[in-house]
Amino acid sequence: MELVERYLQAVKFWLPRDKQDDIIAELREDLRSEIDDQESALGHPLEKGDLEALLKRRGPPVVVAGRYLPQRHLIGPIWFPIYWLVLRIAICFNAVPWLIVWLILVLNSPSYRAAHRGMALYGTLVTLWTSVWIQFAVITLVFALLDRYQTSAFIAGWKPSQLQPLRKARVRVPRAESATGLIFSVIFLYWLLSARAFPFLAFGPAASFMQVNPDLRVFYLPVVLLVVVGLAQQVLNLFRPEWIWLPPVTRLATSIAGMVILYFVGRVSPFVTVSDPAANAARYGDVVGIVNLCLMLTLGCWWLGLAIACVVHTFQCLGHLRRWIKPSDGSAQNLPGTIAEAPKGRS
Amino acid sequence: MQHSSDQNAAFENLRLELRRGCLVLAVLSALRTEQYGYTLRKTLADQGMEMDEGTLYPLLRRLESQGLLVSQWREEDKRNKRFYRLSPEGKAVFKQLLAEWDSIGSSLNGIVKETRHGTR
Repeated sequence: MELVERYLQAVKFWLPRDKQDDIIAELREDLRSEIDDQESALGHPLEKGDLEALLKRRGPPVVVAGRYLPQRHLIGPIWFPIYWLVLRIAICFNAVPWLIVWLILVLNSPSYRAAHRGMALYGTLVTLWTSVWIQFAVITLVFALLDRYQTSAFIAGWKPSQLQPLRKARVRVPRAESATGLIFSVIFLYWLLSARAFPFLAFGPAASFMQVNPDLRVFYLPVVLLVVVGLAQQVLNLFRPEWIWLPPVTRLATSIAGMVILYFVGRVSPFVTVSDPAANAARYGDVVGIVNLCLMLTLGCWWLGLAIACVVHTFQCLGHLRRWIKPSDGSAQNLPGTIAEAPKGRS
Repeated sequence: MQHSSDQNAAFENLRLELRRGCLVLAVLSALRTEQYGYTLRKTLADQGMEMDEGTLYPLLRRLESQGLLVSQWREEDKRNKRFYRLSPEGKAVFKQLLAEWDSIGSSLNGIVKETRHGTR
């Protein structure tokens, strides 16, 4: 019986003080009655193994005690989906840019690399970890307060008229989208091809004293190729609009290639130089310096934009891959208004 | 194999959900005569409504806090036992629940009957 008392003592620990004795007395009586019954059936006292089996069947003390407690939660089912979405967005927007900037520094700056080895690297990562935890704690606290004080107001304040307009399932790339993209791509390609022969198209009046650093010429063909790839995608989608997977796949590929090109472009310095140094250096040297600085900042922002685009396109591609591997049961396509637009075969 | 075990788990969850509502009715019905926890459990089990102690005792406390049951500690066979029975409010609620149960039963029988005919 010592085992039973130990079990009851463990259950008692988890119970609210004002109900402990009452609940334990009742549980004790129930256990004794069951033991008496089993002993009468067996014709002898229960052995240790039988008693252990009986207690095991009843469950761990914390679980038994938990059934007497009111159901508790920090964030209930009403707020949880919003909490989860906000948490993911906040952590994504904090951690991903942080990691990108950190990677740029590590890859581009030997002095940063030298200064952040060993414990310093550990300290840097701890900074990220701490900021993520603080965000998690603050968001959780805000939603816990909302759950406690604003749930009734949230339910009462909900209005059907404020619902989002109906979203159509995207089953094809609109031809207007492909056509518009195609027109702009052709114009951009034409400009890119012409700008080499006519620098005025790139620099305007400044072409008289400014030129592209000759070291950058090696990147010209890859950039043209990227534009051609984008253009090919738009042509294909114009004729095969049901290939909705093509734009994200192409954009992911071109974004990655663009990031690689920009990385190497960023290592060439300066980007533009004075075209006739003897005549123009004294007069336009400062202007060219400012242009180089602006270009450096622009390239940095562009690189960051491409990195974000990569994340977005990766998710889109994974979505298409998932649908391709495991096609849905078609329930979404059975919605009124979408069935007629559904493409034949896989998309 | 995985599909089959998923199906079994889904069935088990639905079965428990289906039983949960019935348990209250079974307990209220059994407590029209006074009983203590262990005998109540045995009575229910004998009638095919097995209920583990982890479910029964918290349910008894909940029903008592709602005023549907009254309880009393009393000595029987030299042991202190807590006896439960329906309170007057409990009797009234039990009657209402029984009427609701009959109504649900007849509606569901109709629906299930139609479905059975439809699937044949």
